[in-house]
Amino acid sequence: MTGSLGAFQSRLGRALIGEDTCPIDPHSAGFRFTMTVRRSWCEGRTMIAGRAVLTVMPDGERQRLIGEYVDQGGGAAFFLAAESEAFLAFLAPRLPDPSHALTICRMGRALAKARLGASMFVPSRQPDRAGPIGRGSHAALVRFHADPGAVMMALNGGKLPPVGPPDHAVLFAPGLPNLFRTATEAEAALWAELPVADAPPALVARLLMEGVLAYPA
Amino acid sequence: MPGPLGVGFGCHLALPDALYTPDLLDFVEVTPEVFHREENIRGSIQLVPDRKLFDAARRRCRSLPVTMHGVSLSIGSAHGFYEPCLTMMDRLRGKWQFHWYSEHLHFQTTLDANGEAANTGIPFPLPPTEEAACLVAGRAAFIQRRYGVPFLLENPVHYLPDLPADPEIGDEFGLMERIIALSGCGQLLDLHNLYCNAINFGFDPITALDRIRLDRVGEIHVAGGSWRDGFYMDAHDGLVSEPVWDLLEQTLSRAPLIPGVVFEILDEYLERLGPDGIARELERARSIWRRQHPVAEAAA
Repeated sequence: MTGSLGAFQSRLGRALIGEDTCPIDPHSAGFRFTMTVRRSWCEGRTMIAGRAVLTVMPDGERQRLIGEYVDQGGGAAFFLAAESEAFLAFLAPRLPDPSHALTICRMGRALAKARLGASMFVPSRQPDRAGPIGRGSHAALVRFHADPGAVMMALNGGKLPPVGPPDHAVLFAPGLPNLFRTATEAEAALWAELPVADAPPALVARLLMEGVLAYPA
Repeated sequence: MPGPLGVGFGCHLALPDALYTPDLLDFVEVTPEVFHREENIRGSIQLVPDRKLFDAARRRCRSLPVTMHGVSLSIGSAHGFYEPCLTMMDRLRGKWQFHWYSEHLHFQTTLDANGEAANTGIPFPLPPTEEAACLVAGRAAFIQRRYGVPFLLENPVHYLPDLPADPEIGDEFGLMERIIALSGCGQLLDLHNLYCNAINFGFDPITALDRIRLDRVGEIHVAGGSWRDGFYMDAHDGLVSEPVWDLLEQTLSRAPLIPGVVFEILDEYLERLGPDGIARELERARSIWRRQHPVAEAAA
């Protein structure tokens, strides 16, 4: 074999995304079939990675966005969490705003972030440290444009409710049971206006415990 | 090679517990990545157990011996294998006894234009060259020493007819033989992969058995597949292909001391067979293994 193994592999890897010439005959039936299988795997992984948001999209739109993502090199990640994060980041700017699809996309990213934080989360006992309190690095607040329960029902085959004003706030954080819960008006207001020096201490203490708020690292 | 275990099956949590009893199975083949998540923790990529799934897998396997069958190592990547996989295996080794550890002889990451590791999206076979053999052999020997159990490499399925090759290595059989000779590791002989390659490249799989170091085979895989676009695919989508059962008979008649036989099926096709259908495939594998395996036959 001429050239090193590393050069062969890198060239093949770049050829898969159209950035180099293929070190194997790209016209051979075997290579073309390999590319067909690869495409199907990448599309399948993308479908799983974005299952929730894709569920509420029309068929044609779903296929178009998956195709565009895979054309750009997506769908190749080995582990689902990385693929999911990359695909939802790709989708977010391409979805209508406002729309339930965008809300579900944001929810997926918020849930992934909270889940990541949960593996190393240590609750703050009290707001007993000096310095400003900020949003937790693994927390998020997502505003739904309808009752969140009704939107979730649509993921299981129900009908999506009409898109209304963003009046339904849901908190995601590593210290919350199941990683999320409905936010109260006071919590949503605090989240929107942080840092707030005169926030009620009991509210701040609870949100610190849940990982919604945090002292800067 | 390790002592005989018998017939094994993957750890599929969607199936009922009742399937995982010594009445049907002799061991469970665990793919640890299924029960882990990849996370970037303070700048370091790690495979973190998904506690719920991991604990369920432990409970599922409690009454049976376990082997580990990894899927993320990418042992043939020239730029380096996937290190979080071995960190995960290090943690598992301390908590969960396994009889051997197997991985796939392929690569699934390469370096991109920026010199970063990038997934290929599908595993690729290694070119049969001395460089590839030496690279993998060094890593395989290291892993075998590290865990103190046999390390087995699985022969891959692929559809590429014109991989660059060194004449002294020749083909996939020459590559596996050279790696085994250099490293002292064993082979996981996937008979369905062998059968797919035989169909797609036009060679006789029975004759090919002559080119395999059967004395170094620690485990056999059997599975089913399907046709697509004129190629026979390693789809793991149902019943074991009949010619693969024949290959199992042939292989075990030549090498009756091979320690284990595993029936493989993907999670998404479990419903197609159902627990009863799966139990029948396991029973068939067990009857062949017991017929050919002198120790097991005596014990039975």
